[in-house]
Amino acid sequence: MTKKLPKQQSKKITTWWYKIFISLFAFSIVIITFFLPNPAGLTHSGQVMIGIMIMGAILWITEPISLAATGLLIIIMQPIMGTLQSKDVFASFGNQAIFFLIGAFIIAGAIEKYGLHRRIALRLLTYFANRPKMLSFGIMTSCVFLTFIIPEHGVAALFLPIVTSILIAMKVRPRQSNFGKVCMLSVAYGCSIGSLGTLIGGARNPLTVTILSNLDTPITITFFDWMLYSMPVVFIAFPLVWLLLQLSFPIDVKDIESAKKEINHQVSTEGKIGKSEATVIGIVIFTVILWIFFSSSQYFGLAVVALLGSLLLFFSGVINWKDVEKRVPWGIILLYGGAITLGYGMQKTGAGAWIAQSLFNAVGNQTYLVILILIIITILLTEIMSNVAAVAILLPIGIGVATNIPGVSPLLAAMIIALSGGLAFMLVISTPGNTIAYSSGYFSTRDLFRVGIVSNIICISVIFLVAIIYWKGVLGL
Amino acid sequence: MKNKIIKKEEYTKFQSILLPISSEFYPPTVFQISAFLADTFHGNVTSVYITEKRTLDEMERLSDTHLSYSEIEEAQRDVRHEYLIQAECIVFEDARAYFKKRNIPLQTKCAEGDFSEVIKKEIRQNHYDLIVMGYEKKCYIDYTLIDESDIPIWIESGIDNDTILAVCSNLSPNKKVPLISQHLSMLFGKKLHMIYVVDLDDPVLVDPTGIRSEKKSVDELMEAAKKFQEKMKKNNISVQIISGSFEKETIKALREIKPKLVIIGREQKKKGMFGFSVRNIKRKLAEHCKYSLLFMN
Repeated sequence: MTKKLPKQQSKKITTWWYKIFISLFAFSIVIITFFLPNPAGLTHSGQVMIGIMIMGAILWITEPISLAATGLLIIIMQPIMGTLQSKDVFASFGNQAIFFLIGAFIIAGAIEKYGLHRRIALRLLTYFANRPKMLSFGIMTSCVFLTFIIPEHGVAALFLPIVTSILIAMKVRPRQSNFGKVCMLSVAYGCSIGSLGTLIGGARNPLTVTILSNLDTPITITFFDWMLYSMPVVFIAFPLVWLLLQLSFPIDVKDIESAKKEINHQVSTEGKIGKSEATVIGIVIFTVILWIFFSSSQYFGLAVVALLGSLLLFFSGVINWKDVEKRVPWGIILLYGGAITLGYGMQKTGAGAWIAQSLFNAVGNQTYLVILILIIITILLTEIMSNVAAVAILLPIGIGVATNIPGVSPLLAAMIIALSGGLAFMLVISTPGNTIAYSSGYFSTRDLFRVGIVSNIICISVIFLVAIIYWKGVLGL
Repeated sequence: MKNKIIKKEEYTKFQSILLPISSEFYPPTVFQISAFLADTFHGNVTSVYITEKRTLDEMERLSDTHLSYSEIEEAQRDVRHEYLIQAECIVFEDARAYFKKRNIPLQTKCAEGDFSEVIKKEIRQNHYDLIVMGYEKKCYIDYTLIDESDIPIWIESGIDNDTILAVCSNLSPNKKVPLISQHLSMLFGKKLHMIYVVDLDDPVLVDPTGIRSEKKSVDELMEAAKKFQEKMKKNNISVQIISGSFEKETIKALREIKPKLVIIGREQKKKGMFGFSVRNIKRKLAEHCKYSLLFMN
């Protein structure tokens, strides 16, 4: 023990120095942009805003402080550096999408409290436990569908013990079996792809809606609109990625009986649906119907419906504030707040448009090339940083692109970035879903990278084709 | 070639074998070799399943902000629980299948922490003659133990070839390697190929107690190598002398010879500031070598 202490201490000191160095480096970028002469076409505030964006990007990638704390830092840096006034910064934070997120998290929390997500997942799996291939397809399908009503990371955390216990019952050896790899990668990728489907799946989706509604010419997207735009990507991408998993790791298991037994055993332990569970199911269905049909601006809006659903949960007595405290990740709200104010600042100071113009000048008016570049840049950035953060950084630039390149509307650019931002497939650190699935021990970082890089290429193609054929061609975005 | 018969008391005996398995990497081939060694040396095996703290920490770090603390705790609890079931139902069950039929005493344990730290603690608390483990570079396992351990480490790859490669050098005492390599070549029925690497990057000689000399000239180093060659010749073992960098020449040799097992001695590389090794040679070898390795520390 006496030998161990100095080593731990030195590790702590090294980490502390690393944090200090990174933080100073990030701050120095803001200071440099403050004192540098600004180039033609960019205001001083815009230049400082770019500095704040780079600072945020550095801190979000290297994480010397929590992602949420970086969100707060971005909020306060803007009035401190004089790019925006305090009242404007905080007004942009008080957006209805924040309350939509809070409401959605409360509803998801109620689902989690009563294990309804587990019940749904197991029920879905029983339909697929006929053959090993079908089971892996069932796992991915269940993840995709559940992320339509619960945030993706929660679904990954739910599926980890379910799938691991099935694999253990089947005596599938970690790292040795392709079946184990396919099942666990199906969890990681299923959650990521499914999270694109609705506004609930990932916080970057409501962030996109907010930034679009903050534009000088506001664009309103309802819950149903989002599904209309995103579902083709989900339903084309997920079977293709599943197929890729089958080809990359040919399934080496034939007997599915033990898996079936394990799933049935788990289903039987769930018991019958109680009164509280039934109440939650009823309220969730009611809320989703309201979201689909009455979330447009002429009706109630997204946040009112979400909060109405949450309040009904309180009134019916199925949840209390303790449950909310326990299950709502308040950090994401702050991260989200930082992201909104960053987007607002980038847009108001003209920094986003200036970066877009500088970056895409060489490309000229080639719409398709611009779309492809936007998809690739977003996917590359989301691999190394939080999805929300990546989307927050790229959205103002993407919307700037839309003002410069004919044939690319702000809505089209925003959808491209928002959906590409959810497809972090290559690295364990890319998204918590990958980390959670990796912790099972069934696949290596190499497996993830190998299949992730091809999955990303597939998804780049899917989003590209959907963008030019469906969004531009059919919907006229 | 007929080797000199080694006296029984000269044997290095691997009687108490530690078999650590990380929750991040499960190599079933380690059971086969440890069962063989325990059977041969009439020893016992202790298998420790290590729940990698790093994986749990990483999960917490990355989920921070995205999941509530309660959700993170639940997820970690689930992972821990599944690891323990995995250990009991897959890893230890496989282990029992190997050891039980050979009547080898097997003790199983579960621990949580960093791979190297857990093993170091286990070594401090109990006596072991050998650590048998796997190596996987595509993961987050902390393998610093390989450079720091005082007891022999066997890294099993599962590849079976015809030769055992013994690596001696001016940087090691060359006491244990000749003996154990002869012994293992007899046990496995494999050819023994011995090389002596004259490390020109670190021109010193290491005496039998492991102490490094002052800098020597190339001639002096070559003379020592030839002396060793002569000594081994008396035991009917031919030694190939190679000069260059210890690490590069060893990797080159194992790529040419493609052995079943590479045996490397307690090489005393020059230390850097604060006594840290200048380069993590053993870990580099473990990373580059696809064959089994035995570090006779």
